[in-house]
Amino acid sequence: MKVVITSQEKEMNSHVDARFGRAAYFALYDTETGQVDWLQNQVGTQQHGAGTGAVNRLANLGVEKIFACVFGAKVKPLLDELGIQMIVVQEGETVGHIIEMLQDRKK
Amino acid sequence: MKISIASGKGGTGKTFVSTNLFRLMHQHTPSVVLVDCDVEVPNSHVFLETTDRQSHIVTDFRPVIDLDKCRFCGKCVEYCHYNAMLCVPSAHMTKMLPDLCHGCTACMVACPHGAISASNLEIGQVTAKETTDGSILIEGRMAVNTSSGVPVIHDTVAFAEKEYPADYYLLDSPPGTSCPFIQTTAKSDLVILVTEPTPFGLSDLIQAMDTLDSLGKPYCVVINRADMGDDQMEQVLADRGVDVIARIPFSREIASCYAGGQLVVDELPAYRSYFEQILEHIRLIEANQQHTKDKAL
Repeated sequence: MKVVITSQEKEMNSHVDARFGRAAYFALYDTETGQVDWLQNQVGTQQHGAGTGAVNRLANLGVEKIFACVFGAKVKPLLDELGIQMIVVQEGETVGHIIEMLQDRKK
Repeated sequence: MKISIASGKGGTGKTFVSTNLFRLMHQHTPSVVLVDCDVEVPNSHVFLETTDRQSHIVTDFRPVIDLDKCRFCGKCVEYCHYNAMLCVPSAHMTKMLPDLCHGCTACMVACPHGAISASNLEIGQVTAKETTDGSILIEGRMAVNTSSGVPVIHDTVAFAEKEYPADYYLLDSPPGTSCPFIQTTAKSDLVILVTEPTPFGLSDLIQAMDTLDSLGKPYCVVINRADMGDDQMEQVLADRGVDVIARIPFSREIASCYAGGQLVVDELPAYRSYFEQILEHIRLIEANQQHTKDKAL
């Protein structure tokens, strides 16, 4: 399954980006293969609708879960409708730590 | 000539100035129309006894997507500047978000499969009101649940100019310095910025002036409650070379009159002179602008 963790930088020890739609990067993690791809968030600097733009992209990549600190009011109903799970994490969390926790849960 | 009365900071006295200026101006030059562009909360009518003459609904384009014709090609998403379209083929979903949609119709133009058609969303209402002295107020009002008042302001001003031609239009502007303010002031010949000599008043006034500078719009300032606050504002305006065309003192009488929905130029004649002053400056600026136009020809 593919999951996304928002990220401030492109490293495993990067902090989770508190924002979703305007996050700097999306860490795309495949729980089956263990692969991590770093996606630059193109819509983050656009003036309008960063949230919908991000949902569009991630939904079309087949993402099933998204980890961020805050999800905006406009993206929540969209993600609900698409059946994509929103997971709220604490600020200060790192991408690497979340991936570790996901790997532990699999065992 | 179109004159906007705007501010930056809310609550400085735009409506106070525009309604009183309107009453006074109409007594001198009957060919003047007041246009209430504060479409979220139009309140000019409170100060004028009016009867409604005519009214119309303002609508905006919103796309309707026929999922039977939609091939999920994503062209509409590609063309939408506002990220108002969502297309997820695996979920059989093509969807428009009405709060982000700006009604530009690009999606409908872009769709190669004829899956997008037009619908009209009701976004507001424009009413022409006649006052007891025969003057006209055109009032724009946003519908509840509408995300942007900008198209309603546009319709209100266009309607006023088309149906009620006049020598002068006074546009009572919304507060702030963002899109509704710009929509109101953008086509004005002169902007009167009403402010108060406080840190908040000054901070927002600077934003308003910077915005008008970048638009190349001529403006001048009325300082309301001028005997209160501090003298920072006068200094900043002097440094920027901005004309202060009136300084209205704080007065409990004025506040009481306004709170009672009355016009100061009618009820408190001692204060008429401030509005005479503003009117005189308008005439001077108008003459200057005309002179510049004549020279250019």
